[in-house]
Parts: sequence; C-alpha cells; structure tokens
Amino acid sequence: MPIPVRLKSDDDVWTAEVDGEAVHLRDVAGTFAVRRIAPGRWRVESGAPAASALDGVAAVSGDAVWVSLAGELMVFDIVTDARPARAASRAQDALTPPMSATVVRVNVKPGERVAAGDTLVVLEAMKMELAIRAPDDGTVKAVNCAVGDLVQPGVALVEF
Amino acid sequence: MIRRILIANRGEIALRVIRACRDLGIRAIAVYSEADADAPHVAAADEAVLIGPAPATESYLKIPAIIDAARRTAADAVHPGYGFLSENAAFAGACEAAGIIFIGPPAAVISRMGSKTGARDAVRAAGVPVVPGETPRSQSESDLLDAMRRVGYPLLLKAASGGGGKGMRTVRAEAEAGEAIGAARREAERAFAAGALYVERLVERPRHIEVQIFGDTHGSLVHLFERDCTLQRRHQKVVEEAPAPTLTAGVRERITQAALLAARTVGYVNAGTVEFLLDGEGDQANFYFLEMNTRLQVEHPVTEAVTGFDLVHAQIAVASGERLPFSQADITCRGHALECRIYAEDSVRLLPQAGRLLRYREPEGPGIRVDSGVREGQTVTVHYDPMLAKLITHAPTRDEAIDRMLSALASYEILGVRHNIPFLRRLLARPEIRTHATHTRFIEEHLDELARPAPPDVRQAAAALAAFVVSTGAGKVAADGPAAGAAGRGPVRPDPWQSLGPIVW
Repeated sequence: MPIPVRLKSDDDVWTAEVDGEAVHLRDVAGTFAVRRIAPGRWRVESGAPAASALDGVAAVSGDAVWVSLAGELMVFDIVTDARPARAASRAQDALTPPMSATVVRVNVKPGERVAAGDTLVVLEAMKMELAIRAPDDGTVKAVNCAVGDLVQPGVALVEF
Repeated sequence: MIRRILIANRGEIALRVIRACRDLGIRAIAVYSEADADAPHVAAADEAVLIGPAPATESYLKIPAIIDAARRTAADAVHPGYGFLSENAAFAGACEAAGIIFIGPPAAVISRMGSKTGARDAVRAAGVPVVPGETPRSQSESDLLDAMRRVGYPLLLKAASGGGGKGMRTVRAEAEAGEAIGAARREAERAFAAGALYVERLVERPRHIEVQIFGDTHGSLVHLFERDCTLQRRHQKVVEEAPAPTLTAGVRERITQAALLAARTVGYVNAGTVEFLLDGEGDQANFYFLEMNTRLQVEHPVTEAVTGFDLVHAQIAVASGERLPFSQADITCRGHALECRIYAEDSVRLLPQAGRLLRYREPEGPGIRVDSGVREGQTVTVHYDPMLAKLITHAPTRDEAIDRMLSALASYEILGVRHNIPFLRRLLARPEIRTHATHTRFIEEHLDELARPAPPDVRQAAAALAAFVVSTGAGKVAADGPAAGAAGRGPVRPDPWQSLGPIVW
C-alpha cells in the first residue's frame, strides 16, 4: 500500500508516494529507488531519464527533513492537512528577518512610498548588518518593529 | 618556561591551541560563556573557567574577567587566538601588568599596528609602498566627505582601528557616501568601541596577498612565504591558499622583503601577517601595504601545510623567550594548500544561520585537515561568528589541491544548520579558479551564478529521499540528541592532524 507524503522546500511543493523502497514523485518521470547503505545514509537511484545513483544523508527533526546529497543541502517541511503548505510569496519572505536579529535602524514610516530595493530596516546579527529591502515599489502600510527590538523569522517587519 | 596556558577564545581556534598545548605537555585552560558550557573547547581543555553571560562583551571581550580567570588558575601565559581580544593592546598590557605572558607581540607593537593610520605611516616612512588614503582629524560628516573627495572615488571607508571587514564599506560615488559613513561608523563603534573612519583609494580588481612573518626576542625575523586570500565576500575571506598562484619569483622576493621591512620597522615579535593588495600581473605587478595583523591568522593552516611547521608551537616557544625553531634557510614551500571556511550561512541567501547540528561528520583522507569547533548535537547560536570549521587540503599541485577540496566538500555531512558548502563547491568549480582570472570582487560579481539552489535532478532525488525517510520514520532525531542510528556524539577532535593521513608523494 503506497504511503502518500507531501513536502515543501524553498521553491517547490512535492507530492510523493512511497511503496517500500520505491518513491514516485508527482510530475517527475520514472521512479526513485532508495536503499540504506549505512546508519543515516542512503543511496537514491533514478531510472529516468538517465540512470544515476546519488549517496546522501538525511535527518528528520520535528516537521523538518534535512537532506544532503551530492554536496547539496535541501531542507523540506512536512505538509499535513493540519499544516497546509502556505503559499508564502517571495515578497512576504523578503520582509521577514532571516534569523533572530536586533533592529538597529528603521528607515520608513507608515504611508511612505518606497521603490524596489530601498533599505527599509537594518538588522544586526552575528556582528553583521543585514538590510531588509523593499521587494517592490509600494506604500508602507505598517511598521512592526522599532530600534532595539529583537525580531524573529516569520514575522514581517514592514507591511505593504 | 610556560607550563599553563589560558586560551582566551572559543571554537576551532581554542581547540587548535589546546592541541598545541597537548603536543608540548602544557596544561590547557579554557574560558567559556554561559552559552558555551557544552562547547567542545570546554570539554577538550584540562580546566575550564566560566567568565560570563553569552554576549561577547560580557565574556570573551571582558578583560578583567579573563585576567581574573588566568590568576585563579595560575596560568603562566594567555593565548588570545584570533578575533576577540587578540589585537587589543589594553588586553596585552593587562596581561603584562599581571605578570602573565601574552602570546603575541608586545602591547606597544599591537597598539602601533592596530591603528591603520599609525601602521601605514610607520611602514611608509620605512619605504614600504601604501595605497593613497587618510584618516581625517575631524570625523564630522562634512570633513569625511571632503577627505573622500581628496582621495577620489571609488574608495573604501574603514574603521581606523579594527579588521575582519567590520565597519568597512565601498563607496562608488558621493551619492552613497552619507549612508556608508553612518553604517561604517555604527559597525566600527559596536565592533571596536571606536568610530573613527579611514578613507582609502579603492584599487580595482586587485588580488589579496599576505606574507606570514615570525620574529623572536633574539633578533631573528623570518617570513614563511605568502598566502593568497583573493576570494572574499563583503571583505570576509572565503577561500585561502598558499603559495599565491600568480606571483612571479621576482615579485615574491620583493613582497616578502617588504613584509620583513614592515615588521622590522616596528620591532615585531611572534607571529604576524603583513597584508598587501596586488595590482596587475607578472613581474610588473605592484603591491601596496594594506595592514598588519598582529596575531595568528584564521588561515594559518595553509602555511603550516606547505612549510611543515606548527605555527602555534613556534608562538609558544617565542613567548617563552626561546629562539625561533626555524631559520629562513629551513623554510621551504612544498606542494599547494587550500582552505575553505565552512560557515553556518545559507548558500542561496547568504545569511548567517543558527540551529542544532542534527548530523555532523567531517571528511577524512590523505591531505585533508579539518579544524573545527563544533560537534554533532551542538546548537550553533547567534551570539558568535558563524564559522563552523576550516577545511584544508594539501596536494603536490594546485589543481590536485582543488580536486581534493571539491571531493572533501562533497563528503562533508552537515545537517540541521544551513551552510555554505554548496556555495563553496559552485565557487571552486568555476573555470576562473583554475586560470587565476579572479580578483577580490570576483564573488560579488558572480553572485547570481554562485548563490543558486541545487540543480533539478538533485532536488528531485533529495525530495524522494526525504519522502522515504518520512514514510519509514528513519532518520528521526530526538529533541536533545543526534540523529537516530548515529554512533553517539560526533568526535571532539583536538588533533586535526589525525585525519591528515599519510603523505602520498
């Protein structure tokens, strides 16, 4: 009985069916065969379009699946009905801090017009300044942070 | 005679110094912040002292706390590593005043070379070439703007005291000057507690060449050849190598002699690095003194690989008042070495990352050295520099060292924190790396091609593997432990030479 698995990575949503060692991905030709070759380490063989075998490691932590394969790193979120894949837009992503950081400067006020690329907020983390820039031209609707705030990923610092 | 060394640092460099202490039969004393109670350098040391809370300003940068720890543990000497207090003359002075040997140059030399202006003036007077620039006496915005006009655009704004790219900004036109002054000053104040800025002409498309020098208290001063650290991003070195691949024998002779002259001028003692910009190619290339780093460099392992000498051993010998363990005639350069800095930094957005290392396994094999400061199960925090490790490869030729690096990067297993290994692999696979058609802005200019997600076939195979482990429940990691099936915690490796393997040529 194939087990359905849905995953989301940075840019893609994946719908998979796992039947024993065989994995089929929707919209991807062929079937992948996964074999365990050592603890925490697997070989992924693909039959189509050209036969290939890639070795990699994987770890599951909470809702996240980490995979390192062929020198690349991929992080997937497990999607369930209780936790649907949010269609977070790139624009929205651009306005949230990439990591815990401290706000050192806020350049805009609500009602202000900004152009794509304008620096809206400057953050500091790990001794580096990071600029949060406008993803598009627009008018600032709200500013959700102030200088000195410790801000977290997932929260939009500025709204349009 | 030094019997007990307190290491005023953390991470890989603390472990590196602990290894040297072991070799020499010296007791190694670690210091740590509350965030690092579980860190590998604490476990590896013979003794460890808690010096304060997580923020570096309240722990690793707090001079009285470190001096107090050294006193309480009866340390004869302090090794500062790099970063933190390593180039802080007040700290070196406080050690001297407390009767503790500071493993590095005298406080007076640090303070003279620590000011970019002071260093430049001193070496220029001795005849070492420098890039045009000035530190305006008045640091008001309008006086800085005047100085910037005099020096000419494009230019660099730098913290007058400091290094490591903190407080540094490129300014291409006057329109950008105001914002750049503010940002550079804020970074300078936070990093070095001093906001004075230095204005310098920008040499376009240079290479970064630095010479390792070493002096003792008996009047010996030698160089250990040069390193090329041209591959940088935001003035942070990414890949370093030795020897520099584009130097002709004539320029190598001139640049090493200029470095010795700079060091002799200030009465340099212990390990130091003289940094230059190389402008042009062949025997006609010009070089300009950039700054002097009065400490052990992050990238010292490439010099150790090609010369065969242990620089930390030599630092401890010189600090004990012994003669340098090598003369200029003893120092030769064999093969080629490369170092990649492995950062907790996402390979696409290039931003620092925090998280728990679900799986962490280092590559091994002939000619591979890993200096790391982390282990499996450890949490990488936002408090300190995001560097996880340094991966060094050594081979008879440069091409072989690059090949070895590419395969070592591919077999490095890091899960749980996004890192820059995919980025490093894309960078080293570029044809310009083999043909030396690079310069200090090469990474910035090719960012779109380098900071990319994995190719589609790898993404699909990774998704298939991810779906498989989810469906079978394999690879699950407990909330507080490493990955299921992992053979306990990853190794704490105070001795990276274990993995170097036999020399194969």
